Amino acid sequence: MNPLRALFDKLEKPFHKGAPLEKYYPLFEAMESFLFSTRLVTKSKVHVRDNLGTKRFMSMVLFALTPCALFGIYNTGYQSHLASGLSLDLVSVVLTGAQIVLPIVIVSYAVGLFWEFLFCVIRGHEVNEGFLVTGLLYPLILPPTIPLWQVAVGITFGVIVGKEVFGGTGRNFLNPALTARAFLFFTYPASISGEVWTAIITSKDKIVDGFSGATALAIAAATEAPNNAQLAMESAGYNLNDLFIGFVPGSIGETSAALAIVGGLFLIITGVGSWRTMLGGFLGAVSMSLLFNYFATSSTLPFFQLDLLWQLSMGGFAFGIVFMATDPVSSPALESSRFIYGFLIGMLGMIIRVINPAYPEGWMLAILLMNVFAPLIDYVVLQKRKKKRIRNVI
Amino acid sequence: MKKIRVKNTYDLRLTGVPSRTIRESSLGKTLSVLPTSISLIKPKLSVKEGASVKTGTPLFYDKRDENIKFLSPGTGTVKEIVYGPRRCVDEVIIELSGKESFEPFKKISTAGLKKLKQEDVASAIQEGGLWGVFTEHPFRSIPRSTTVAPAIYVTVDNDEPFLPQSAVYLKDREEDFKFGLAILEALSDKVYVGVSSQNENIKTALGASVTHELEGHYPANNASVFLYYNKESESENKSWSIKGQDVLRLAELFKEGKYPVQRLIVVAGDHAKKPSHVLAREGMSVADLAGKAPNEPTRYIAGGVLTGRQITEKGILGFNDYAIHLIREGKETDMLTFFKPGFDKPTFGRTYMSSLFNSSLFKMNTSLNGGYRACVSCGECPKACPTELLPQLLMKELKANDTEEALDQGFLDCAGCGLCTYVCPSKIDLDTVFDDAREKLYWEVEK
Ligand code: SF4
Repeated sequence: MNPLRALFDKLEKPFHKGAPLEKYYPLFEAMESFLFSTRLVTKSKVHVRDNLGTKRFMSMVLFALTPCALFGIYNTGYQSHLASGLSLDLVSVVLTGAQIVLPIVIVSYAVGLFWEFLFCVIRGHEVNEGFLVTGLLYPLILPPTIPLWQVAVGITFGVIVGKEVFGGTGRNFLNPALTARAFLFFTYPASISGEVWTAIITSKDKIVDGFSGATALAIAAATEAPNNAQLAMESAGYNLNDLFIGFVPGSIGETSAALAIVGGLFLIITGVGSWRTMLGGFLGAVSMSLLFNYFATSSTLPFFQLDLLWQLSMGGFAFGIVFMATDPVSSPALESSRFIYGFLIGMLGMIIRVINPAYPEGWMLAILLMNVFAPLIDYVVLQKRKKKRIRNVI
Repeated sequence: MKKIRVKNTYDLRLTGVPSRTIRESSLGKTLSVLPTSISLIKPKLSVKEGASVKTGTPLFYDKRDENIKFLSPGTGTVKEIVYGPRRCVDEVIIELSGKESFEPFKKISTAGLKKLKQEDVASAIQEGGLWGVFTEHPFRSIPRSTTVAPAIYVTVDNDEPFLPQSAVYLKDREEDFKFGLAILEALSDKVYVGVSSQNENIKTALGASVTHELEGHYPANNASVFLYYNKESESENKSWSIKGQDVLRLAELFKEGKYPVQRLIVVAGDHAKKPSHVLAREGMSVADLAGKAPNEPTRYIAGGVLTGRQITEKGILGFNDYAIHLIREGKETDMLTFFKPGFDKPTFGRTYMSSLFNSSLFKMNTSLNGGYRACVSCGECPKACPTELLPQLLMKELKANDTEEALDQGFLDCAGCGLCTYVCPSKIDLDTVFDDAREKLYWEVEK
């Protein structure tokens, strides 16, 4: 037998029913089932079960997130070195990025898992692997400048209020990572308002000339008529290519629309993320953005005129639609509702981004809002579905 | 011939497939009858311990309706009656006398059948102990003796892993089958016969008798699914169904005037010695039929692996069982599976590489392949529901006792195929929730 397996068999004893550590069995189970396939067998009449379990399901999302996370580390270091006038070679950039990002990820996981385990031990539940996803999504939508204690406070709120008070993963109606992010946004607006999102590692006086640190979105939102938002961004050094690939300051993992698309394709191919939500979100954003263009005049906000491609490449749009909107738990349950849900997110997010100068980015709020409306969409779609069936009641 | 394309079906590609050879089996010293294995009846004994019975002597009947009788599958004496909790009869054990004699029933020929009225045909079947082969939808109970079926659905093929193949049980018996269909036609105005669209041979052999072709993998040939796709109005919800092999048994009862005890079953699964078809009779034990399993943890199942009952190595073939499975209990532990590509892991969705390179068979075992979790709304189960329901919503409504809403969404169309439970990554026993709810509803209605 595998020596590790043997070790676990030995370790298991004190966690058994009646043994001293019985209460902490969920902890043991989490470790064990992380390493080994389950020893549980079927009890119902369906004696054979599919190979897909929630662990595999969630690890697919983690795979999809990996490119964004890795690029996030690189880009954080890159932006920081760029602003500080330091060397831009790969190794040093990655090292700096890792120094900034890894502590945030570690705090997110450590604090989040602490709460997760605590609730599981109290409830006697098994630990749900859903947190492995939340714990990575959350740091990726934070700015690299975030203080670590805020990371901890945010994830605490996200896990407890966004999820555990409702009974844990599967019973929550809001996306926990976004709940955590929204909490920080409203509680500590100064740290997260989206003005300056580059982690500066040198003293202030060494910052390169001309660096303002303002994100593309902040510039676009702040442009006043009769100026042109695109020109304003270009003169601040932004171009479409960088925005799409992600070489711009912004939240750690959100900047690269390209890699979010890669992750999205992976989710669609494996069937783990709903393509209807993504397609809906894309079409919603496109149509709203075109509508803005259509109604743009010299008296409207200059942001109205901004070209579609810029709109789609900027900020957290791609990341939000691919990874946040598709969270199955907080989405509507019906596949057909998911398209409507995605579409409304796309439209709403674009509206918030363009029209409301108080919010630098719209996707977080749009998705949370639609999370709340998800059951309503389901309800409407369900009534329609019912009409198509031949009734079968007693 | 109409073609029905069944949506959301799935080919499980399991190992342990039974071959088409037919093995004889020999009777042991006893046969047992299991009244509690028949769902939705209230069994009441009509024999006492020590009574001598012939093959076809009534052993018990249904208290709801005394005309629904269950007969002895062998000749001998009632050796023991085993009671379970609340004095329900778990088992009636018959010690076989060695020489078989049959309770005589009236023989009815094709010509004779034409002269009979619907009630007469029904009562001949009830006397002959075969009323229980009918299933009344939507509860899948045995119909009361006086009800007239709005329609009868005959399913010739079985696509659940694994059940007897029509190519085996129908071989050279097409005429009997047609006579059986004539009996059904005497019972109901509408008789529908569904055959798997892949089964060319049977289609030609049965010719015009076949009314529908059913296209799809499991459970395209399930009776409830067939009914769901074919019904045109609410009045058909209470249609009946019958399995192809039972049509043959009806024919045999009428032709021979004897209780037809023989049936073809399959003994399948990796732990069965030589998975094949076996000539069996109700009441035989697993030991009689399948012999010993290898020295590894084994699960014994009466019926298919998605709908069957779990039994032990001493288990008995029940009134409605057409299969015995011996499969591996649990599986070898495997490390970090969810980070591996999984070429060897067949799956319903596309989360393992096996879905691209579609060749490997799923080594049949009873591992849960995951831990019990709350529903994460992953949306897999609706993709596996042949009757286009939303299992996850039904499950939540039924657990919250909102039966009204579940019914409104079509809960009673559920075919009980078990595919939603099979695919669920949170390993929720949706089937148990549905079975319990259906049974509870049934007894509320029956009251
Ligand atoms: S398959 Fe399971 S987890 Fe997925 S929606 Fe259905 S019940 Fe929920």
